[in-house]
Amino acid sequence: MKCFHEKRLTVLAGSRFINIAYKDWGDENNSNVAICVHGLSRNMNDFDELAAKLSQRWRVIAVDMPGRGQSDWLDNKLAYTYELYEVVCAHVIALAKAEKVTWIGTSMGGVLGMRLAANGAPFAKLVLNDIGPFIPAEGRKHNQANFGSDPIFKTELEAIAYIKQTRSAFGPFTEAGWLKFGRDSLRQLNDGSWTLHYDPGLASKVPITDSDMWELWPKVRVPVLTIWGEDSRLLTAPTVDRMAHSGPKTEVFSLPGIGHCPGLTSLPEISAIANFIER
Amino acid sequence: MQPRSCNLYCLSPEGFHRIRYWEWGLEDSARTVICVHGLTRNGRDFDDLAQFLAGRGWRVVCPDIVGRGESDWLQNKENYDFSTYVNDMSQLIARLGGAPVHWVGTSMGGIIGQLIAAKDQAPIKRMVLNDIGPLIDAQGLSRIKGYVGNDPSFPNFEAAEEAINKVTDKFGPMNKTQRKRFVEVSIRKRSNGAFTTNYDPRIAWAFKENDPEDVDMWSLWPLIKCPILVIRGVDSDLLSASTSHRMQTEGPKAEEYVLEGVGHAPTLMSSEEINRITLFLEAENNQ
Repeated sequence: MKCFHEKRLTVLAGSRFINIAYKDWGDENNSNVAICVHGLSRNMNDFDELAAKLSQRWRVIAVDMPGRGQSDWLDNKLAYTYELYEVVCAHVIALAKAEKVTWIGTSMGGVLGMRLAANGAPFAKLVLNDIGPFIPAEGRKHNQANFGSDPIFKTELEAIAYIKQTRSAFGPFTEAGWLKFGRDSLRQLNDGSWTLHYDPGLASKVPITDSDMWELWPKVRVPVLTIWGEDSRLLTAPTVDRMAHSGPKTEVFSLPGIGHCPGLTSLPEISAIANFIER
Repeated sequence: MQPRSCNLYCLSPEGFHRIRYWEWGLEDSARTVICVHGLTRNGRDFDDLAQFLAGRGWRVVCPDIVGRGESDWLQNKENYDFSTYVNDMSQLIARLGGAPVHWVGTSMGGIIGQLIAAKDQAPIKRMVLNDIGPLIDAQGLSRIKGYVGNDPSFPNFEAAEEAINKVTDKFGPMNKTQRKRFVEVSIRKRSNGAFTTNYDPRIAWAFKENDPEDVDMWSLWPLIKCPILVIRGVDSDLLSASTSHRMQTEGPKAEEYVLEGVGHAPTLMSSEEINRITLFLEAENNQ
């Protein structure tokens, strides 16, 4: 069932305007608006199942950040920064003709949610998918191991097998879910070969260190739900514990046996999010 | 006809602030024009133009730039700069659906318009520059420096009205009703009952801390690709005849419309001005 429109938005990115792609699910005039932003190397398609379910009662806007999916790539690779992504997100928030929006962010999208919330964004609620104010260097390194150096494949099936192998901590997915996750990750080059659907220039050029954002946490003043893959290398138990007991005191929905990152395609995950944002 | 009063939350280096915009006409019209006011003014200056265009099927959106009218004031005065205003307007274009818009900019609103239109892939179709161009004379800026941001307090409305009339005597033309509304939207009542100007006095920090010099933005002019109409008050001290001439011969080669007996800035309230702007905005290649 296709109940979204693919649209484009013009966003000011430094000295030029760029096109940002998004899927607009549900009724455009609905004042219940949820904005979904993906992880580092991912794209808006990751929210298809969640958005399809939520869009009966919500307008859901799922975005491709610059350099991912259908959005423009940047000429200057050093401009792929959180500062720019925040400007992009502010434009997406402006799209919603609502006084307040609910933010659903996976990994990088969750970091953006925390940063925007701490900056006084007009949020009603915040959902953080397997991310928090502290990310250990070890987890970040693991997460970015293949990033920017993903190979090119002759066939789509080879490419999907590679994705399944290198992104095995995502899930839980059914076999069909893996196929969709794989396909959503790919783009076809002019010569017919396949590669991943992001700008390789996104890869960080600076050494990866612990990312400590605890100063943001008390500035987040909206209810927070954290989805936690218990085996996650990016969101660890001590961080979850501190998130639950300080600042906005997040609710936690734990997924045993799952790493980084929960796929938000299973019924329990979708129900947990729907119950939280509709309460 | 009354405008719809809408809020938009915009991101600046100090975080999000709320701006107010006034929307006229059909929200889903295929033709949208954004009208942006001058330094100390606000979106209500365009009521007459907006009502006329809305009557012709346009959606007309008139923001109060941050620090003016009913928009928030910023915490740090340094953030009252063109970078903030340009970003806010880019977000406003997103709010309106993200499609390219038409632009009417008076003075500061025309500087913001030029800064946006000069960028690659700028979402502006046609632009009216009201008594402003890529070169702004220091002489006019000195005059503005003399009155802007002084944060005056007047014991009653009439005293405030007199002061407003004095610094805007070159604006024009306006009839009695228009002048009355112009003054009303220029004045704000303080909590202690006194009257003052309807903007954050700190918007003028850059004026106050620097000696006026010519502002030269000629490097931007050839980068602007959209058609331009420049409106020039013949007695303007911000837009000279020679600047306007160069605007017509270089880059986007503006059309010019001159108003006799008017200084900085034309109010765009007379039917002659409104008709001329409408003619330009509705020219054939904008459909």
